[in-house]
Amino acid sequence: MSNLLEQVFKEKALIAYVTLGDPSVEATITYCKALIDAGISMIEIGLPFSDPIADGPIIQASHQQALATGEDVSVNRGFALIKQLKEYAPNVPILIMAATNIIMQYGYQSFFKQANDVNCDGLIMPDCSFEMVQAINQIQQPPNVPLINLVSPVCDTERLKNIVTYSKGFIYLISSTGITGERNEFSNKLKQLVMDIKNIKNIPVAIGFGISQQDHCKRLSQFADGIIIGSHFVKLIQEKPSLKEGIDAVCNRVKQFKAVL
Amino acid sequence: MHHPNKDGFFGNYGGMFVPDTLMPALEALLKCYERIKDDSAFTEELAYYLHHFVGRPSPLYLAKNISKKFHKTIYLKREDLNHTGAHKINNTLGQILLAKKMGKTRIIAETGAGQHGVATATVCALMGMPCDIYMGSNDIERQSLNVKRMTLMGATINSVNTGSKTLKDATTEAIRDWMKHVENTHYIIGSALGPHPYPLLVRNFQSIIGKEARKQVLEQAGTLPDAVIACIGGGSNALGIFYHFLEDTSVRLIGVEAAGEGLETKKHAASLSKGKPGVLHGSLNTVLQDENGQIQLAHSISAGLDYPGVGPELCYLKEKGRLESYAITNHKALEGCKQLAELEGIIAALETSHALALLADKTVLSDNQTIILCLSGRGDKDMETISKHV
Repeated sequence: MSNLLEQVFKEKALIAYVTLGDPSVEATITYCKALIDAGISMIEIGLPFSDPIADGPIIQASHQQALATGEDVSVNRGFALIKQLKEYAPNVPILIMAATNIIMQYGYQSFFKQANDVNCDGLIMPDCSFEMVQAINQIQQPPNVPLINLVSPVCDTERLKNIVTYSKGFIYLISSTGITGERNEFSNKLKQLVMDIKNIKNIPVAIGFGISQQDHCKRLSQFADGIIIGSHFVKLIQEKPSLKEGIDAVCNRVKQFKAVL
Repeated sequence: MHHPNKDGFFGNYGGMFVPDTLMPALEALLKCYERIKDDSAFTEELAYYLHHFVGRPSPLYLAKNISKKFHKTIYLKREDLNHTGAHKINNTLGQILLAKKMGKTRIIAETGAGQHGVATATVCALMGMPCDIYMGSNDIERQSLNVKRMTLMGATINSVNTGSKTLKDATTEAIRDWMKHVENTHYIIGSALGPHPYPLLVRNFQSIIGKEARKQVLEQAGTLPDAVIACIGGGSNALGIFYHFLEDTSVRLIGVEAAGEGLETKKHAASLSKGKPGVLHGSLNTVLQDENGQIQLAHSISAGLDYPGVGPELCYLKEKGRLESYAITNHKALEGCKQLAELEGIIAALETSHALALLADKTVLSDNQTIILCLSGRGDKDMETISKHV
C-alpha cells in the first residue's frame, strides 16, 4: 500500500471531496491548495459524470455545473491537477473518484499507468461493486495506486470478508444506506462494522456520506480512522457569493472538524 | 446458454455496476426469483392475473391489408390489446408479485413514455401498494394523458428536472430513491436494463409474448415465420418476442431503433447501431457517449425509445450476429403509424411505429415472406404528437 496513505492514517484523518471544475478548474486548484493549507489530511478529486447514480442532489448539481462550463474536466485534466498539487504538497495523498464509465473509456490499464506516473494515491469508483472489480480482470492495481473499495452497512459477513481481504489502502465505509448528501442519522451498525473489518485485516477505515457536523466527526472518529466530507463542503462553496468566501468557510470547517478528531 | 453468468454477464455485456449498498438487494432479488419462479403458487397466481386481469393470450392477428400492400404475410402480435395498452404490464405484474413475496411494502418505477408508469401504477392499485413514479419533466409534458392515468390510480408522480429531463434522468433518480429506501422498497425497472438480475427478470416476464406468438403462428400459418420484428428502446418487447425464437435459427430477429432526425445527426437514440460499450445505470451495454465517457442525450419523437443505452442481452445477441438491427427516423415512424391506422384501423404507439416503418424497406425484407411484428403498444397516448405532424 501507498506509504503516504499509511503515514496519513497514523493519525485520525480528515478527507475532503472536491469536484474538478466546480465552479472552474482554476478555482479547484486554488481551493485544493487552501484545503491543504488548512490542514486537510487527504483530498478526493471527483471527476464529473453526466449520470452519477451514487451521488445525491448536491454533488450531482456540482457535476452538472462543472460539465456545463465546457472546460476540460477529463481524466487527463484530473492528472494534471494532481501533478500541480503534488508539487505544492508532496505528502498529502490525492485520490481520484470517478464513475466506472469514465475510467472504462479512458482504459483501466492506461489509467493506472498514468496515475502511477503522477503519484495519484488511489482510485474510488463508487458505482463499481466489488464483484465487478473482480469480474473486470484488467484492473491490475500498481502498489501505489490502490483501488479503494466501498462497504455499506447492509454488507453481509461473507461479502465483507471477501472485500476486506482483497482491499488495499483503506476501506471507504458508507455511513448509511442511500446516496451522498447531508443527513443526521447514521447506521447504528457502524461501530460494529469497523470492528468486524479490523478483525478481518488491519486496514484503515474512513467513514463518509452525509457527514456535516462537528458532533458527527467527534462521534464517528472515536472508532474510525478517517472522516470523509463531501456534500457539506460542496454546498458551502456553492452557497457563498464569492469563491473566496466559500473557501474561507470550508477552511474554517476543516479547522473545526480537525479540532474534534 | 442464454442465461447470464453468475455476475450477470451476457457475453461481454451486463453485470452489476452498482454501489455496494445495492448489492444485497440485488442478490436477495435474484435468490427470491430463483426460489419462486417455478413454484406453482407463484406461476399460477401470475397466470391467473395475466389471463383475467391483463386479457392474455393476446391475439396474433393476420393483418391482411398491410400484407397485401407489402406483398408479405404479416402477423401482428397484439400487445396493444393488453389491459393498459402495452406489453409493459407483463413485467410489472410479475415483479409486483415478486415484491410481495420479498415482503416489500413500497414500489418505485421510472417511466419514459408513461406506459411502464401506467402499468406499474395499475398493478400497485391492484395489490394495494403505494407507488412512486419518476418521470422526466419533458416526458410529463409530452405524455400528459398517461400522467393523468397514473395519478387517477393513486400513484405519486415525481417530476425529474435534471439533465435531459427524460427517461435517462428518471432512471437515475429512481435508482437513487432505491438506494435510500432499499430495505422496504422494490424498484420495478421497465425494460431489460439495469444491473443483474433485472435484465433477466424483465426478459423472462416478457418472454410470454414470444411463447404465445410462436405457438399461435404454428397453429395459424403452420410454419415458423421468416422474421420477427420489434422496436428497441431498452429492449423489453423485443427480447420478450425474440426469446422463444432464439433457437429457431431460420427465423431472423430484427430490432428497430429510433434514428430520430437521422443517424448522421446527433439527434437519435440508436444505441445498438451507434453506441460504444460503456456502463450506464448498472450494466455494461452499448451507450451513446462522448470520448470522455459522458453520456449523450438521446433523441426520438417517441418518448419510450428516447434512451442512450440498450439492454445487455440485446448487445450480446447483436455481437453474436443473432440479432439484426436497423434504425428508423421520426418522419418514417410517423408514416408507419399513419399507414397502419388507415389500412388496418389500428393506431399504434410511436415506439411500435418504428418497427412498422421497416415493413416498407425491401432491402431488408423481401416479398412473400411471413413476418411477425410485435405491436407493442397502442397510440392513444401519442395522439397530440401525431396530430401535430400528420
